[in-house]
Amino acid sequence: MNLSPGKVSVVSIGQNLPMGEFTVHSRFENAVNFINSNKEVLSLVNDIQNMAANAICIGFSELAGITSLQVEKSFIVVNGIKINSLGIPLFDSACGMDKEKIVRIKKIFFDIRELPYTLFPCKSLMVLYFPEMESQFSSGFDKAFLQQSKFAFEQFLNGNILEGIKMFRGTGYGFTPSGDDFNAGFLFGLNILEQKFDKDLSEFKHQVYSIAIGGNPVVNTFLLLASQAKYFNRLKKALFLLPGKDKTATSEAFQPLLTHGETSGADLLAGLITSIHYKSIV
Amino acid sequence: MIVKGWLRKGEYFDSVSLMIVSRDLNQLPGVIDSSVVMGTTENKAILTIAGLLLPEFAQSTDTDLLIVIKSENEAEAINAWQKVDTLLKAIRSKTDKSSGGVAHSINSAVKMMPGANLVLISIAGKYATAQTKKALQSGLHVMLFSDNVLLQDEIELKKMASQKGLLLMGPDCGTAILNGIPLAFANRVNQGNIGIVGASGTGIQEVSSLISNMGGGISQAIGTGGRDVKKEVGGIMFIDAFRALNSDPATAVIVLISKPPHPDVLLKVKEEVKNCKKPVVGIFIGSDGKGLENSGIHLVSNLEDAAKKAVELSDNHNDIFLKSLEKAHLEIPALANKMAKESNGKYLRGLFSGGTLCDEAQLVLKNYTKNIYSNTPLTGLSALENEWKSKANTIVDLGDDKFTSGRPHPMIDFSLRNKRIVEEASDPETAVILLDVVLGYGSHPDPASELVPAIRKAKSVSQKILFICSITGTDKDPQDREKVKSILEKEGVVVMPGNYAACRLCGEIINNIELKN
Repeated sequence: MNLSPGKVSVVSIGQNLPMGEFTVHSRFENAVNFINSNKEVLSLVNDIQNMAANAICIGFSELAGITSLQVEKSFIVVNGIKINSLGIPLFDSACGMDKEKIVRIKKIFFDIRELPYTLFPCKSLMVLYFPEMESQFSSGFDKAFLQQSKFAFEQFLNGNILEGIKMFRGTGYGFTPSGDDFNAGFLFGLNILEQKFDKDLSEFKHQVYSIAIGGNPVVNTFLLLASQAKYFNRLKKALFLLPGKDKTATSEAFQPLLTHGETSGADLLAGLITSIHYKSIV
Repeated sequence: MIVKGWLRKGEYFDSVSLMIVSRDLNQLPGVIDSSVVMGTTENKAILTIAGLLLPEFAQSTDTDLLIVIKSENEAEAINAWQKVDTLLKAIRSKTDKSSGGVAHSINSAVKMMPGANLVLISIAGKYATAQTKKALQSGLHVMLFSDNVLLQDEIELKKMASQKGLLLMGPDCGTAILNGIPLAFANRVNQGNIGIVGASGTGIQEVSSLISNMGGGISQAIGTGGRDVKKEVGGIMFIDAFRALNSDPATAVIVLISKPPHPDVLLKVKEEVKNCKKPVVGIFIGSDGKGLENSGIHLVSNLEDAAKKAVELSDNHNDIFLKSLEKAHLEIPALANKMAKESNGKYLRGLFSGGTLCDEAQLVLKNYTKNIYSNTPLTGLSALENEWKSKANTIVDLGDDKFTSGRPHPMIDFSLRNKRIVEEASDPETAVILLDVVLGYGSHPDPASELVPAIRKAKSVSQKILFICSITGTDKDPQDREKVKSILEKEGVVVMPGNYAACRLCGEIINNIELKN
């Protein structure tokens, strides 16, 4: 289907767009993932909430019909329509926080058990912090996945972080499995620790990234961006809103993240909390 | 027992889809266990632990789909597989670029269906204004399901619709029945000569279902969105819809449903009612009727009476249902006395999925006790300090934004309410759990199957816990009201004919318990 000129509106573009000619890799209702010959992934989204460093946000009605994409330095070609990209608002994926804010966020994560477990989707990895959620893992796969996740989590508790990352890799439901989201959250948490302690963890982050990647280029790109401290919009928003003035406001601050996929945001949060808990990393 | 598996190369789905498919699959008859996951090496290791790994999965990659079914026999496995296949195809067709019949704009939709005169818009609120404007400019009536539309935009759009002689139902309009066709959350009701204008979704559902169960029928049910009757919007669509029904030859009786409108809006309603030749029934939940004196409106104080009065005025009724309703009300005092004696606890815990039904519960129950808390308290009642934790007699609207953010509405997804049911049963102070079950299009296709395990678990925690519920819907609904009623009654749930009757029974029980203590 060709779109007539003028119908494509680009709302925002990420700061780290890969370039070249892309073909569709995977298509979902609210996002289409494209891939180029270098196996670099670019996501086309239709809601600014879903923006990321490697994404382009377009007007909502056009998403389903888009089948081809080319990205160059100064222009984008969507379904054969050339759009000048200079002047389109850039999505800023950085998330600078002062130390005082980091300390306050850390406190929330340490006190996470004080929040109601019902805040989190039932089959998410937040089960690692809320054993009350275990009853929701009912099928044979669910139970084995939970067992595996608890075992992986124990590795973190015992200081075997890289082993834990390896055990989480590729596990769980969905195109981006829960365990991969956990690992991405862990990497995002390392960035926060870097800021908190003014310490360069790039070598360790690279080790984690190298172990966490698998055979899905979309997941691998997500992990790479996490290791490079390139925050996606929903996580940025949640961190911006945290901590709330009281428990209710804090619960609400998690919403941008928890509405990211069914469990993805919560799985990522579990990983992020885990890294923040382990000061020994630094 | 056999384990059968299928590998689908290059097929991928998000976690929401796979969780839903897995859940549905595990509920199929004959299915002992199953799994639908992406074929990562690690998931295959988990399948091994679960005893579900098959040799044919050896070649799978991260972007392949694995389906495995453990069942009693081959026929049941094949049957389950066909069900999965259908579900996955339905999900894929939503996103597949090659799927036919998908329009990507209002203009292209109109081109595909040139005779259409109404568009239902359900997109993120911030985009809804522009699309609604586009639809109105194209001469289309609009049902705007989206919420989070700016108030100023709503006013502007409604003025525009009104000038063009078009209906703009919404924003945040969840229910309508037009020419016999239920839209969004609505029930399959008899067609007839009663028209409804409502600024309340579940209010329209309860009244239209009761009318249908009582033998009456609906000509049109027009939702306006809850903000329409506020001062700022000024009832633009409430009045326009009323006028439309007034001039509709198929409508003989008009029912108006909303929370108390702003006095300025009420004044406009009064003028319209005065000039209307058709009988008008009004239910303004929580209003004392002040401002509508001498208008000729039949004011009632609950949704059940609204339906009863409308049916009476429309001259179509089902004696059997009306008599059973009357009998149920007559038996409430004796039944309440008996149930109160059976109970150990002190308080009522009302867990609602419908906002208007929750409001009506508060209104009814405040006649019995003042010790009521809610997350959406009516004037004069107390707000819960923590909406996740009940206190004394508590009435919770689980469809409120605080509970639905990031989750489907409780009419679709019962998980949050089910958790709460068990939590309430664990509280020794809980005597009665009051529930609403809303049937119809849009709602959960099998609510009984969701509720029964939670009820059983609650009863295992507290054997003397009492369950009372109302079912909003009809026997024609896809879920079948009678079938749902029968399943719940088998679990010991007292099913009342409507929300009002259910609330009355709860009120009487609480009264009896207070006297007992």
